Amino acid sequence: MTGPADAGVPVSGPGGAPARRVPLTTRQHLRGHYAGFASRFIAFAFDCAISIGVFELALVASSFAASVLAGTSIHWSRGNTWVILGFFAWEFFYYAYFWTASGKTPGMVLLGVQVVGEEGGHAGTRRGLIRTLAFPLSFILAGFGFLGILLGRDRRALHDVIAGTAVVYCWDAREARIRSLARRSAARRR
Amino acid sequence: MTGTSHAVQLKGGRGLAHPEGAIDPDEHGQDSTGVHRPTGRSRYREETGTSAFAILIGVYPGEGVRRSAGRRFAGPIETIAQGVAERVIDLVIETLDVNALIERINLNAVLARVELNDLLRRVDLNEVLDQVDLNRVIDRVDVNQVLDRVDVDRLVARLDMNALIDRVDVNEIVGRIDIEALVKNTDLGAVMVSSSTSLLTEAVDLGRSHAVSLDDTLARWVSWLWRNHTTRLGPPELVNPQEES
Repeated sequence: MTGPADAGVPVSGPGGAPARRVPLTTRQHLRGHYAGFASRFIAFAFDCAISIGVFELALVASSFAASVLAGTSIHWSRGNTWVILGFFAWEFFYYAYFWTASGKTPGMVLLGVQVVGEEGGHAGTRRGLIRTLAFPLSFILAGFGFLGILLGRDRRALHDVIAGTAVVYCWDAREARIRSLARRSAARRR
Repeated sequence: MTGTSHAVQLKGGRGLAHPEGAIDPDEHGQDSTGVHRPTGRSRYREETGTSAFAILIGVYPGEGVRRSAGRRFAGPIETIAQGVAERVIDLVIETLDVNALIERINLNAVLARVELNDLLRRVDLNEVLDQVDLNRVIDRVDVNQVLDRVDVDRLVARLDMNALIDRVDVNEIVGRIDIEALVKNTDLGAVMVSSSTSLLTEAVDLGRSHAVSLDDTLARWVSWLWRNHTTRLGPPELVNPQEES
């Protein structure tokens, strides 16, 4: 297989049955293959939800702590400069920490994708930090920075190209497929 | 008389008993090996027991007849004898029960006397095998009977299992197994489920599978819109070049 063009290879059924399209996860383990746009986008959505949720919780927790300790309640406004600065700092820390440490944010863990060096090795601290700093650029350029994931040969976004990284699948699709079959077979036997 | 006797001596000295003249007896009737071989004249004397017919000494009348008869009949008789022998041999072979004969032969004893290594060294096995139609040979072999006679335990005991396993490409064998069919049709699936999966794993697997399907669909759309679009499978360190091709 050289690309997604032949991803849905028609496979003829037993006894000359009509050809059917076999899902990608059935045919390949996918581990180490460049991750597609949907997986990355969903992972990012999860990360956004998690990081924003944690930040909101932190704001609520600090407000509660101030009311308990100082007896005065703090109302954080979203337009507050400190809140905005705090938010960006937190987001930077969130992504920088996970990308430099393991290459996987919590959202990426859920979707089974990982940031690696362009050759396939560990991304490392330097590349992780550069990627975090370059990440906003892909948004600033009206989202065009993400087009590389759809159209690029290596499915790399602008921030990937700048940092010298790539995003790959890190889960075994065939294993998952077998687990799913096992569950079905166990349910049938019960 | 001396001349006659000399002539007689010459005639008699040729040794009828030795027409080929291989061993020439001397005048005392002794050959070079010292064995007493009477010449024609002395033999005549011995046979007649008299020396009265001295004039006839050396002109033994039976000698010529014997020689010509020998010459005349030797050929046909030899041919007849040969024909008879051939016929007799044929009859013997026809009469022989070869199977019974073979049964009486102790093949182990025969084989024990054969130096097999020497024999094998002389044989060009490749040439022999080139001439053998193995399929026909195998068709004629009752494998079950052969296996019945094989002491498998002894055979296995002589095997170097480690060396054997070293030569086996386990990955290739595992690659040939249809694991999906195995899981679907056996209790292996139930064992795997009870030991390794939970509801969360199931949900995660499902979510990932759907995401990959979406990736696949998007990639197909892009390749449909952009005809010459090609992508690589993954980074060089992570993707096997064979997988890429």
